[in-house]
Amino acid sequence: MKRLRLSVLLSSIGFLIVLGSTFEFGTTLAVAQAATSVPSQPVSFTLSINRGAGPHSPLIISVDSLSVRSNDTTPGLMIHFYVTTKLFGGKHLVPIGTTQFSSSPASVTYYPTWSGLQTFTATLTDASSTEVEGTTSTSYNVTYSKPGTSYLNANPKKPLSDFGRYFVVALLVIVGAIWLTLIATIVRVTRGVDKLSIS
Amino acid sequence: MQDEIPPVNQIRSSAMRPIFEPGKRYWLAVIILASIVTWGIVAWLVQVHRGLGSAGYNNHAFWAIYIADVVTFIGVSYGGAVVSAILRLTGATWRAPLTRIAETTAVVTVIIGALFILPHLGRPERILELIYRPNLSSPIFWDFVAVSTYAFASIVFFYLPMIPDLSIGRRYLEHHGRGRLENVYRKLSWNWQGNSQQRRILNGSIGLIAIMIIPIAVSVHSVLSWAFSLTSRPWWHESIWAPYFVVAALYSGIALVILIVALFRKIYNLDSFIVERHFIRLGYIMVPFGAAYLYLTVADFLPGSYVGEDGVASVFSAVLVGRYALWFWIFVVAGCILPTLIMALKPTRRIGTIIFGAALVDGSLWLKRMVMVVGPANYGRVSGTFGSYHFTWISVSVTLAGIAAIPLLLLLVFRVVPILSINEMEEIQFENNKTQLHTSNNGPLPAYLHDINRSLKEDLDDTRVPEPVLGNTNFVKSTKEQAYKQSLTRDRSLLKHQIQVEEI
Repeated sequence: MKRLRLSVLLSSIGFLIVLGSTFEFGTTLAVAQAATSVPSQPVSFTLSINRGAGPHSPLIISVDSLSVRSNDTTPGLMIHFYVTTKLFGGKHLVPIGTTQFSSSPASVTYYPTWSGLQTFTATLTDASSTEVEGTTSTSYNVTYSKPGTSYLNANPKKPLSDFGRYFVVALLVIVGAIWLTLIATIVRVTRGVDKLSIS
Repeated sequence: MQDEIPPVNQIRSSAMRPIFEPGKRYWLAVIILASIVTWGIVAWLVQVHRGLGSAGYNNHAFWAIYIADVVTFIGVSYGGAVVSAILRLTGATWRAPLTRIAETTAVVTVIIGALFILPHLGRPERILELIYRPNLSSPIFWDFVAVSTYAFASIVFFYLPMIPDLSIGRRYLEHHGRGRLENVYRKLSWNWQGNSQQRRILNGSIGLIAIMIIPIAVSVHSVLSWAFSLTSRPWWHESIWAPYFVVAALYSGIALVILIVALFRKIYNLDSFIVERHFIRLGYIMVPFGAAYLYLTVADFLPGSYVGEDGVASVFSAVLVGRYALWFWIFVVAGCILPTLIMALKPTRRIGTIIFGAALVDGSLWLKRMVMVVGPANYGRVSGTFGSYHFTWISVSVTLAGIAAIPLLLLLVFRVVPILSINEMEEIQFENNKTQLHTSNNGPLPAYLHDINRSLKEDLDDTRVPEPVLGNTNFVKSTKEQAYKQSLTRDRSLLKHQIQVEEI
């Protein structure tokens, strides 16, 4: 019985992984699943994030202190950088850049599209396969984001946006007036017709 | 050219026939249609139990057949109301035999369309949230407001012109011993006698509602389109969609009026009232809307296809040459080109072919709406691929139930209200006769005067006195007759002519 339950559980997890990979965000989900399914860390590295020179500069996300297994060759490793988003429900990893490791540190430049505490993740894969060799995450408080490019905080100035609330009231008044006119017409006709009948 | 209208007694008997002589076929039709509707309700209950997935919905096709049904049914309702309103406002006398059927169709279809919101929402209890927890910035809330306002306006527009007919029908029912219905008619006709003051109030009010119902109907279909175009999805997010929906509604609505008029003409033998000319004129009204719709379709597709933005180009490719192309081109050929050809060529301008053309219009516009809903909904904006939507027995059953509900409700409504607008037809006949009288000079007494005379006599004979006010029933009745006779302005003027003719 226990075996049956275990097999049902495992097959359900497998099914969910397959289902997840066919979902719109299948790529990132698959990466996340693969990343968490690695039982041990054969490689180790650290992820550091720095702001560029000016206050409005992009972030430089770097991987350094990389140590690899003896049979791996460092230039063959690919580093994938992600930022975690809660957009569209749940947590998803959004790819922000990929670079081939040549010399330490390996970095990508990223302009954040929203502000606040964000988690960045880097994964290492072999250049010839998609198997994740190692993964690490770190949090960083973004104080300045690129305006006008974010899906999450897109807040362009809409024309007549302040007028909206008054417009709703005006519409409700118009609808109310239509209902009143219709009701008044029925009352006028029925009462008028009844009153004007000659008895 | 004057429209030939049969004699008064024939108008009344034909208008009231469904109430008295429904026939065996009537009951057979009611049973069959009611069975289809019941089956649809059962299917919907199964869907409530199992979820929207049982109707073919999925994470891609989050909107599908039911919203296409909502747009279709509310759209066809537009035709009945607006055709009747426009023809009233323009004084087109040929409308008279059609108005009751058109106005009833408008009421029935808007009710059915509004009910399709229930399967579309998936969870019926959520409809209440539109009332006690409305989101004022949501198009769905404004859909609810606009559709309910339009439904109420349609009911008013259906009821007001019926007041004189209810009064005439009351006397008819009284003669034929239908006491219960007669009481209802009596209450709803508000002592209508047809005097000039009553007519002035009624006609003024009908005119007001006829003017009001046109912008209300336009607002309904605009708001329905905004439920799509305020969503950031390729093809839905288009500025042209509001007029596009309005024109489609008019086009399919007039087509449905043709179908319903043809159906009830056949069922109740109204051939002497509704003739080929009516179908041709309705066809002439329908065709320009078809041409306008085709033009708007081109205007909708051309910029998106030319610019080739990501999502829009993918959806348009799927519609024009891809997975939805077959349905789209069926719509273009069967829904726009063929009906236009039918009306353009004289040999095909016949009742049968016009009905065929109208059926093509309604069927293919439903197809077009399915493509408009399912195409963009199925498009995955991240993956750039299309999901799929498949009909299930549940969604098909619910949709068929909606289609069957139209004739069913119409059959039931015409079982209790006159199918023809008796008063309007008699007024038009009177106007025609008056013109004829002025032009006929010293000829013999025309036969129609006998009809009018008999009708008048019936009206006078049927006038009942509630209580003998002065204690003398005969005296009161005689006074009432006199007053009543005087109040009938149109009939008084006709009597004057009649007396002159008789004197000559």
